[in-house]
Amino acid sequence: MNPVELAQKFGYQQYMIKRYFEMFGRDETYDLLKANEKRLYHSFRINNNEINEDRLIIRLKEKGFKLKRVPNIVGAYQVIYQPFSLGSTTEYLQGYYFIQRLSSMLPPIILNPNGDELVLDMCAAPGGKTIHLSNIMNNNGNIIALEDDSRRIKSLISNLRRCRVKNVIVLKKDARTLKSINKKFDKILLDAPCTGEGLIIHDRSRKQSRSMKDIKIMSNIQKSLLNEGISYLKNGGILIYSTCSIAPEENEFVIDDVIKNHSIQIETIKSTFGSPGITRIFNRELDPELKKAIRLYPHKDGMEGFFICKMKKK
Amino acid sequence: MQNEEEIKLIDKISELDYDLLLKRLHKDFRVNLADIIEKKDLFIKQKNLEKDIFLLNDLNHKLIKDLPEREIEYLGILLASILKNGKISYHFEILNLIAEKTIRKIIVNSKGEQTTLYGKNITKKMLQSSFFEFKKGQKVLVLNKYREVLGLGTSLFNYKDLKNLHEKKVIFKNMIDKGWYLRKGG
Repeated sequence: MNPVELAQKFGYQQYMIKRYFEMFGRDETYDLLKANEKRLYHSFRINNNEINEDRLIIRLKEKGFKLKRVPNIVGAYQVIYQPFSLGSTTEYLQGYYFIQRLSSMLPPIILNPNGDELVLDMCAAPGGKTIHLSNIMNNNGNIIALEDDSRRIKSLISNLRRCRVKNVIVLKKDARTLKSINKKFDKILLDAPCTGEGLIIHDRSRKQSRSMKDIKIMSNIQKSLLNEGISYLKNGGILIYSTCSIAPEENEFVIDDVIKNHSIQIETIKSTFGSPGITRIFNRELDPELKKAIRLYPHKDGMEGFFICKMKKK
Repeated sequence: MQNEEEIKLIDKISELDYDLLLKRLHKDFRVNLADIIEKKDLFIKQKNLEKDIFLLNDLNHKLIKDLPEREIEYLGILLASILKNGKISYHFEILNLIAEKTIRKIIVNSKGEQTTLYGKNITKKMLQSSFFEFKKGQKVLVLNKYREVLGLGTSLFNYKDLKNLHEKKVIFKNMIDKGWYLRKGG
């Protein structure tokens, strides 16, 4: 089938399929579109600061949940069957787990902060990654979590409280202007706002809801965020950039444009998941080091589309 | 009149506010706050005419001065709030902290657990056990069979009078419960 026919068959805008042909070729595009029609299991991550993993799993199984442990992600489970909502159990209300997509569990693991470091979470709500960072730090050190949207701040704080996180300070702040913070950070997580093109597997409306104009607008926001984040990173510090988009303009292009102005090197990510970042696409040659970034796809990794790049400030 | 810039929005807890929380916790739960938390770790965040009391670790203390105070929405652990009328409102975090230190607590059965988390009151039938002989009007921590805090209730009867009550009679009024995270937490 050609791009027009595929777009019609799977309900996408034609421009998207044409781009996928260029990114993946015809056969892999078909695999991606087919994978996007499947359903992923819900998943959660255990708040191991608050409960022993075995004890929690026994309690949830007693309630009728059927669970499958996810290899290579500590404390991660997929929910094969839920007799009622996973978000309404006593265990959830006690803060023993956070319902989270598997791909979203990877950036904090890759950032891997220590309990004596100062960490910045630039776009923190609803708090899954912030809580995960806090878990990795054993509730020690400090995390500054930023969020500009009042409604999203409410859910961020509610989740931090529920999961009994102690080492986070939440600021209501646009992460593009950090000048009122008199600190530089050891580690920064920038899980940037994006067009969500990797989330079609969860939200079919995304097939029709965003245009190239949206991608360009978002790309500019992402560049501002990354530029600001790097400016507030200590020398030798690590920044993780991630999005749930598979559009190169929101990922590799952002990094390629921004790091030209900074002393930054792209680091290899040790991961059993993902494909290498893109270094040549849409008539553009990118920094060859971008191959060290990882891309996750539903048809290859059984996860949402996702992008992660690890950078070190020289 | 004090210049707006001179008002500290986040500051160490005052003697007066500390004393208020200390006395209230002792009255309600016979718990000595100083046994659980050091005063130096308590901070107040002004919020209109109310004050939130936060527990901070040492690193959080030091960090605050480098942050824009007006943009700080939340920090450390929220323990309690001092309301406009001067009364103390407890948050779940302080209930978790005092649960092992107080005997003013009850255990409810699984129906009682569900009912509490739905924000409803506890009937006699749901009471599994009590750690003390409560009196009418006393505050009690409501726990489940794992001894995890579900919320805070107020007794509507004396313990010694329970035997005369019908099984369906409400005996504890729900004050706060962790179902709040779903209903209002966002």
